[in-house]
Amino acid sequence: MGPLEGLVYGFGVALTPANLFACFVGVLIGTIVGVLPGIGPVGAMALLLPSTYALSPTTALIMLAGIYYGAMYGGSTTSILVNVPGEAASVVTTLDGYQMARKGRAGAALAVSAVGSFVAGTLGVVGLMLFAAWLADAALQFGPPEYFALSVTGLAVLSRLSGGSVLVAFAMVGLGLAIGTVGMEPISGYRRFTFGSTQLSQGLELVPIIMGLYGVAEVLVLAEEGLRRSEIMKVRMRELFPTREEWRRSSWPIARGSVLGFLTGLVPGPSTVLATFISYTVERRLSKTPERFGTGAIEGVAGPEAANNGATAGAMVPLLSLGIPFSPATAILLGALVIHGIQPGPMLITNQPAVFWGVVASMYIGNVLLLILNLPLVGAFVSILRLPQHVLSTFVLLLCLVGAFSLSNSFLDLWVLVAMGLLGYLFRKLAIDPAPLIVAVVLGPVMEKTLRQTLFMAHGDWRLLAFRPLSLALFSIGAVVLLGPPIAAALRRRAAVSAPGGTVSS
Amino acid sequence: MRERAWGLGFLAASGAYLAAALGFPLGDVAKPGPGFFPVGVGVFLCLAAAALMIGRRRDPPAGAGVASLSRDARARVSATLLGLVAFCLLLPWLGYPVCAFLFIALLLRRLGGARWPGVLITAVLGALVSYYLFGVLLGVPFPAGPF
Repeated sequence: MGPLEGLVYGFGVALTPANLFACFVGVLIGTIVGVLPGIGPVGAMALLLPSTYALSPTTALIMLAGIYYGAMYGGSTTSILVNVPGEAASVVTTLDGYQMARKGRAGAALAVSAVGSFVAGTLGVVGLMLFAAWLADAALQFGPPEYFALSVTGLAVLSRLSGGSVLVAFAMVGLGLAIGTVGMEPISGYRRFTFGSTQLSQGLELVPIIMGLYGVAEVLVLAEEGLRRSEIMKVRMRELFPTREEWRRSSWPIARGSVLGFLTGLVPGPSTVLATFISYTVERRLSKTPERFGTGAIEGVAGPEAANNGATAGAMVPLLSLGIPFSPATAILLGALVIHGIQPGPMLITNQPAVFWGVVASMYIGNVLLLILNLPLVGAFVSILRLPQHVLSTFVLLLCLVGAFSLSNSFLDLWVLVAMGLLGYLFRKLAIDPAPLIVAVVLGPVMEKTLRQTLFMAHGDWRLLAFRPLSLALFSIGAVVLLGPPIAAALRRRAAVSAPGGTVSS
Repeated sequence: MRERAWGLGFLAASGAYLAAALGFPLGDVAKPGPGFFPVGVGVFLCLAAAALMIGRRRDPPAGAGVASLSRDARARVSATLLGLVAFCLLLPWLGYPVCAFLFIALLLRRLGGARWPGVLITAVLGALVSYYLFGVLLGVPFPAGPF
């Protein structure tokens, strides 16, 4: 099936009443969690995953994907109107968005942000459609050594890009891999770290881990901070029209942000967040008046808001074409596929065309729905912020508990949720990003299986792992990303020392 | 000092994991057994923990760290954790509606300082509506409890 045929088929799937409704619910919830500071798209997706059991796999994935990209639209609203980012990918938007709001241009900032998100979302889906199908075809040639190399490289790149210390990120990866080894091992069914528990022999569920690290931990942080009252700026409908000059200034940043965002999304890591910072930096560098940035420059809103939406589409490429998630959000989507009995991987497009093309087409529809929802109804979404924080926190926690229990009606999942919540809270206090841990929990079993398959195939010859052309290329990329920055820094230090009169500054 | 304690704790946990992994059949490189991968992960964890400790001692992190909490903040975090643990402990004995009621009441009171009538009404409604939604409509088999 070619891209055009596939898309027509996908629209047939996505436009059925059940899938259309799921798409609407997904983007609506996404917008709401984006607007609300605290629970982000990852927590919300994990929270709602159990409620998708009764749905078909396509419908479930359409809804969960809707939450993911919908949150990027909603996040900008709080950034612009309250100066508090609704989620991490909207932090940059506060810099100029709130300043625009203070100058009475909140409506224009919201409109440009929504249109930028729409353009990037739509262009990103085109990229996803073309890229994923091509990559899936190429991935049919992948064997266990290539999958092992891809997983290792993905984790290495994620560790470098997740912010903070690489050593800490490595520790998180190790912790995630260790969690992934609990339960029956994938080849002989041997039980590891189960302490005689039948429930533990099934392994630890991903969803309570994510709900704990993101949802529960976030509520604990909010509980620590206590009640907050934010001043919310009002926006009138007639203010939602940017001037011609504002459109002119925004158009290129939106185009650049869309492309940059999509490409960043392909890379393992917190791509939606990284994309916004990259886009902001690029726009400031390209601007003839960089001093306007930080004082209400519309380019500083348009570029990053387009970039975070482009990144959500890019992040779907490795998931749908290789079956490998490189971020917590796509790890949940992978979990949803597995729960519904669908084998992720390069054969997904061929074996489950309804899932792949249905989700792709739903993303076009979702972006149109989001544009409609986010412009005229912005006032309604902002009013959610008036909901008392302690009431919201209480019910988010109750939903986490119910969601964790309903996964397999197991009390163990409840305890995992609480333990991970406490761990996530400690990570937040120590400024540690848990994303590498989550991705490692998902990739750990893949790594173990492919490593052992490779060694079986090669009768113990390690060279098969490293010297197949693609594996070698992937390992080389990982090594360059991991070792490049410290080597470059060391070379710069040496050059500074050897320069006449040079001194080293720490 | 507290950072170092964290590091030591992490190193000890990594060592315990490695020790447990060494108890599984290791196999050899041609036929790796169930212990092969966990031993590798254990070694990686221990190296990461040791490097982290050495790195932090040489170059202590600026700004990052566990700041001490105010008494009120500690009380709110403790109440939330207590609510979560109590819910997990009591659910098999008291059933969902009672546990949900107690959980909502505790958190609304401790996190928001809401007044008792409002707390009780919200807790009763929250427990009943969530039970109807998840237990009845979605068929989640919550423990029945004594009632």
